[in-house]
Parts: sequence; C-alpha cells; structure tokens
Amino acid sequence: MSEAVAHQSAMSSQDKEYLSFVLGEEHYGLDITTVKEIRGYEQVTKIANAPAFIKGVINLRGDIVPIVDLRIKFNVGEATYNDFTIVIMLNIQQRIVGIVVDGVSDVIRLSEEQVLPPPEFGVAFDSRYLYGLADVDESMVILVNIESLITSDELGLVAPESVTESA
Amino acid sequence: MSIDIEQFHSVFFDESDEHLDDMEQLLMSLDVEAPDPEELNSIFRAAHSIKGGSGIFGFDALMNLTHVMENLLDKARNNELQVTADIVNVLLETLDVLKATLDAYRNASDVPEDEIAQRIVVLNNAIEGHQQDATDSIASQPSEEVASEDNSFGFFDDEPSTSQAVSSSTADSNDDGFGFFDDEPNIEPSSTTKADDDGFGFFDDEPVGVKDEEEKAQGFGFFDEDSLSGSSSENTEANSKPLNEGEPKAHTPQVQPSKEVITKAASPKASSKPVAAKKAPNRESASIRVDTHKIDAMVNLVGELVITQSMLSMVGQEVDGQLGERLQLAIDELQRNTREIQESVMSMRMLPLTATFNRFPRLVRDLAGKLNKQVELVLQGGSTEIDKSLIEKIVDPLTHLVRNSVDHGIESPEKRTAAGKPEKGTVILSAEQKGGSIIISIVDDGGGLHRDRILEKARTNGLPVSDDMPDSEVWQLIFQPGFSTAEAITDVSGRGVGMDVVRRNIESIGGRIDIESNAGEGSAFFIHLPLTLAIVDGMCVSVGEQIFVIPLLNIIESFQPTKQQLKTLGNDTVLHIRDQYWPLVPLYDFMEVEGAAKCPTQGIVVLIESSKKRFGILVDALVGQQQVVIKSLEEHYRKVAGIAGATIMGDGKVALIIDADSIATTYTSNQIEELLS
Repeated sequence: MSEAVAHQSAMSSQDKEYLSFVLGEEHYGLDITTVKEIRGYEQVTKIANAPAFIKGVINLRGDIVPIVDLRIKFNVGEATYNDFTIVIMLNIQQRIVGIVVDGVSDVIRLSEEQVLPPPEFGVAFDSRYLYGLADVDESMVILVNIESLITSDELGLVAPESVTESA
Repeated sequence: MSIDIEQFHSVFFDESDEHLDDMEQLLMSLDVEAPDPEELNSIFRAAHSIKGGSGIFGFDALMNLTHVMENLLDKARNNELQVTADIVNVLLETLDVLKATLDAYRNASDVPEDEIAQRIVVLNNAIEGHQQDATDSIASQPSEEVASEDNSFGFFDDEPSTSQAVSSSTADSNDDGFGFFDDEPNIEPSSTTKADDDGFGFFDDEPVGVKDEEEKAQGFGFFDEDSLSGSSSENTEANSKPLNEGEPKAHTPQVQPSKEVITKAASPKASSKPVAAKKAPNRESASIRVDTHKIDAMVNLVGELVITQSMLSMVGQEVDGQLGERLQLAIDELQRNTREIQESVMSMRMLPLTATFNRFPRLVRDLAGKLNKQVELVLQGGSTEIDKSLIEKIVDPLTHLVRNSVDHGIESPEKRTAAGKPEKGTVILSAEQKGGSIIISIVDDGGGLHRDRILEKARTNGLPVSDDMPDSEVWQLIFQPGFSTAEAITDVSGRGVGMDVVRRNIESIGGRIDIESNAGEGSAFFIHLPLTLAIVDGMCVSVGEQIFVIPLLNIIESFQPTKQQLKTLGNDTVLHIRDQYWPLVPLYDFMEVEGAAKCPTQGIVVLIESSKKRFGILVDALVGQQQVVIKSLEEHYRKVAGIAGATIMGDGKVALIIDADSIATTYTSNQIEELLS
C-alpha cells in the first residue's frame, strides 16, 4: 500500500499537466503552465494587413493582446463566434496571446511514458509544433508545443529579431 | 539658479552611485589575461558619465579624479596599456576614494583633497607603468587612517560649536578612512572608530547632553547599514558590540532587560533618522525609487477601475427610488475618487521635460565661459511630457550633445565675426511630440560637422569609408566608439566617447538619432523617442464600426469635401483645396475596415501634416477630442504599419492610434507622387 503511494508520488513528479481543448473534431492538449486564463470570445479590434487568422486585439486589463484563431490557421472546424466560443489566454515568453478554440474540455495529467511520438502527417498542425500524442479515455489527444507554435514565424506574432534591429 | 541646480544633485548622486557600482562589478569580473574590450568600454563610459555630471555641478575634485581615471581606462581600451591585476587594484581603490568623495559632496562635508591628489599621482604612475610604486604607497595607507582618532570628528563639520577645533585636514583623512573601509566587512577593531563616527554623525542634530546614550547611538549608526528596522534585538546587539569585542553576536539574555530600557530611551532619535544616520544626517531623500513596472501595472489597473466604475454607474441609473438615489451618490463619490486616483497615477509616470532642460542653462554658461565663447541657450517645448523612464535615460545623451554643440559646434567670437555671423552663438534645445514619437532636437548655428575630417579619422580608425558616401552616412560615423576629431582632449569633450554613449543610450530606449549639418551654418541633432506610455491629445474618428485616434498634433483641419474639390487621377482620388492638390488616403482602405462610407462626399476629410508629407485622410465621422494613453502594440504583438499604438476607450474597447508619418510612407501611390513632386 505504502509502496504504491510512494510509487505514485514519484511518478507524479515527472507528470505534466495539460489543458485539453477542442478544435473542430480533434482534441488537443497544451502545457497548462502557459495558460493565463480562459475567457469567452469578445469583440476584437481589427488590425490592418494582418492574416485572417489574427482576429485582432483586445484589452486584457490594460494589455493590448492579439487574438489568434487556430481554426482558421489550421483549417479545422468552422470559425464561428458565439457565446460559447472560448479564448485561451497564454503567457509565453512574457507575451500574452489569446487563441480561439471551439471548447475547453479538461485538465489531463500525463507521465512521459504515456506520451507517444507525434505522427509525421495526418494532423492539421505541422509536426514541428507537436509534442506528442496520448490516449486519454480511449480518444486521442494531440499535444501541442504551444511555445514553438506561438513564437513561430509562420504565425508572425513576434517580429523577427532582424526586423526589430534594422527598424 | 543655484537652488534649481540643487534639486538635481540627488539625481546625480544616485546615478553616480549606480555607475560606481557598475564599474566595481565590471572590474571585479574583468579577465585580466584577456580583457573584453566591451567591458573596458563600459567601465570607461561609466567614468566618463560621472565626470560629465560632476562637471555640470561643479564637483571639481570628483571631476579631476575621474578625468585621470578616464585617461588610464582610455589607454587600456586602446590597448596602449596592458591591464594587470595591479591596475585593477588601483582602479578599485580609486573607486573607493570616489565613493568617499561622492559621499562628502552629498553630505556637504569636506572633500578628501589630499587623498584625491594622492590617487591622481597613483593613477598617473600607473599610466606611466609604475604600478608597483603605486600599490606600495596605497598599502601603507590604511593603518594611518585607523590610527588617527581625530578622524571621527570629521562628521561634526556641520555643527560649528563642536568642530571648531578640528582642522579640515583631519576631516579629510577621516573620509579617506571611509573610502578604504567601504569594501570591507565591518571588522571589529576598526569599527570602534567607525562606530564613533556614526554615533557622532548621528547626533549632529542633538543639542547637548545625552552623553549616556552615546554608546547606544554608536550602535544604531553602526547597524543602520545592515538593518534599517532598528528592532530591539538588533539594538541590543549593537549596544553590546563595542563592549564585547570579538563576539559580534553576543546577545546575552540577562543583559537584555536593561538594554531594552535604554533602547526605548534612545529609540525616538533613532527612529527619526533611521536610514540617514550614517550617510547623510541632514539630507534624507524625500523620494523613493520605484520600479517603473510597478507603476505600469498600476496604470493598467486604474484604467480597468475607470471602466468598471463606468459600468457601475450605468447599472446605477437603472435603480429607482430612494435606494437608487443613495446608490447614485455613492457612485458619484466613487467617480471622483477614481478620477483622482487615475490622475495621480498618470502623473507618477509622466514628467515634463522642463526639469531636465533646466539643467542646461548653467552648463552652457559655465562651459561658454571656460571656452571664451558667447553662447545663448534657447529652451523650447519644455512642457512636453515624457515618460519618466525615458527622462532618466535621456539626460546623459542630452548633456553630451549640448556640450558638444557648445564645445565643437559654436565657434569662437572672432571666427564667427569673420564668417559674418553674430558674435553670440545660439543653441536651441527643443522638444515636441510628432506622430508616434517625441523629438528632442539640439540645433546650433556653429561651424557644422567637418566631412573631410570625419572621413580622414574614419580611415585612420580603419573603418570602411569612401569619399562619395552620402552625408547622412558620414555623420553616422561619429557614433563609432573612440571617434573624435578634436585635436586636443579637454575635460569638456573630444574623446569621442560621448557620441558612442549617446547612441547607445538612445537606442536602448528604442529611439534613434539623426544628424543634419551644413558646413558653416551649424548642425542639428534630432533624437526621436518612441511613445511607450505617453499621453496624446487625439481626435477620435469612426470608420465603419471601428474607432481610430488621430493625434491632434498632425491635424490641420477637417471638413466635408464637396464634389468640386475632388479630382480623380487614375484609380486615386485627390483633393483640391487651398490651391493645392492633396493625396487622399481612405482610412477604410488602408485599415481594411468594412462597412465604411466609400464616397468622400459622405465622409469627413481630415487634413494631416506629417513630418514628411501633407495629405488628407477620409473617415466616416468625427467622434470627439480626447486625451488617450498610448499603449504599445509591440509588447504582445508586433509593429503595424500606419499605427503608432493602441489605446483603451471608455467602454474598454481598443482603439488604434494613427501614425501619420508611417501612413505617408506606406500608402504610396506612384501617380500622386509623380504629380505632386
């Protein structure tokens, strides 16, 4: 009994917690330590000359924060906005970014053994931005490396260093 | 004027303290085997900054010493002098003397002239390669210092009745002692002397008597460095310290009760000057330094509070009856309070440049006198408000630039007369807010920059240059480290370190510096600073569903155009007004807003003047004029063309602030360009 408890606590130190969310039909998970808060979708202020998946900016208690719709970016599901549309506010490298998702489902705890390597294809996300796959309650959760995704050139949320320097 | 300058002393002292700390850290981490040139440069710049500041305030002793120190560092960074451990030691010890001197100036006590003179000799020796002698002479010093008991009376200088007997020279050596002990942990034997000082220093304000408490006072003074709280247990420790030498932590329970009583007796005086006891009995600072991030956070939160409050008052209007009335009263009260909080928080962050500008008349006058020149300094736009953090960073570059203008820019009266200019040169220091930036300019009507000399110097320094470089690129060369075309190095300028620091400091706050110069007519330096948290007077305009803010500064006028005023050029529309053709930028097009009025006659045209161009912006309607806080888009997103930043409106929504300069450069229509040029 006590051994089992000890075993479990040893395990849990290696476990990571993920927030799972839904995009279209698929379940995704991201490192919960990057999550600042979860809010409902609210009216954004549009930014000119930005790609369609950048919906605009909102005021998050005085911070001007960009909102990215991953559904548009990765062409999954339908980009509808209603009272149930969810925005996950992420805190990544001292920046705050909101991502629009279809829903937030659960917090899941996974040990490293439970995380399987990501597939090379067949997922909307480029495998660069994937951390792995996991089976949770007999459905598959795609674990996203959210930090590399948000800071990627592809999203263009962060001005490349070279640009800021020459500007 | 002397009163005005006083208020900047504390700023200078704080800055210098920081510089000294930086130097110390850099020196400590310096790799003697292979010194990093960048680190040597940093040390050198710190010394240079202290020298510059002490020059302004007339702290000659400080200036003289840093000047020699600078010479040594200059040689070191130019590889003319091999940095050795000895030299690092000499420099570190010089830092201690500088600290002591700085403290002496801060406390308005006597400057350790002897020690400074000695340091200058030591430094000069080191420059000439006699490092060994130098260290010897220092090594013998500490013991002397400790030995002379009289030192302790140095602190009485402020109080005539007790200090008459003390000659200034003893006071000097006292400070020396401090200089030397600053680095050391509080070693017991010497601290007896030190504690004495503290005690006396501490008692400066005391009228007579209290002999009994002297010992306790020592304790307080002594411990102030470690703990400002002065809690009773520490007091007890302190008290017992001089008695039980070698047992620093002696804290015997049976002594405690009596000590407690004494502590109480002494504590009123202790608590009256808890911090300043050691350093400055009379000069306790009335301000505290607060991390600007904390203020930023507060500004944001207060903004939220204002929005919450307006939500509340909307709800309040729906409540009827007596309860509604009472609620309304409470909400009114809340509204007043929120507004006051908001105002005071904003005022924490924003400061007018006046205080910064007022440093300069004195500097220019002294400098002009020293150089036998006649210079008039004109200050303009001092009321321009600028972020506090920017002010702190802009002082050093401005000082360098103004000094350069007077020293290098303005010619001697004879030369000026020969060139057909008035004898008296003019330096104009001005600030204004333009578009997304604040521009501080330093304009002189002196000789201008010497293109040939700069190119020549660049070649000697091994920089890649060619004769047909455009002026703007040539001028940028003067920002290279170690670049100076002055023939002789004076204590005013000429080392070429200034411009290096200038650009570094400006770039570190996201600004840039431009130079315009015409030989014989003068030079102008323009510092463009970003608006990180500046407030801007803006006109709110609506386009479709969205609100934009146009800085009032850019707006010439706004009106509804008639059909006759509009001409079509290809696909573009231009505006004919005031006998001129104005390009027309439809904001809905530029900002990709849907649902806006597309026909200019149904909208409003706002005529804009940016630093580069004049044009009209087509919007749907004017909403109103308002002061808005500019928030950075780049903090969480990136820079967007045509947008200077964003602001939060009363309803919590985000409105974008137009950057007229950027629109002018981004929205280029070749046909219009050709027609108008």
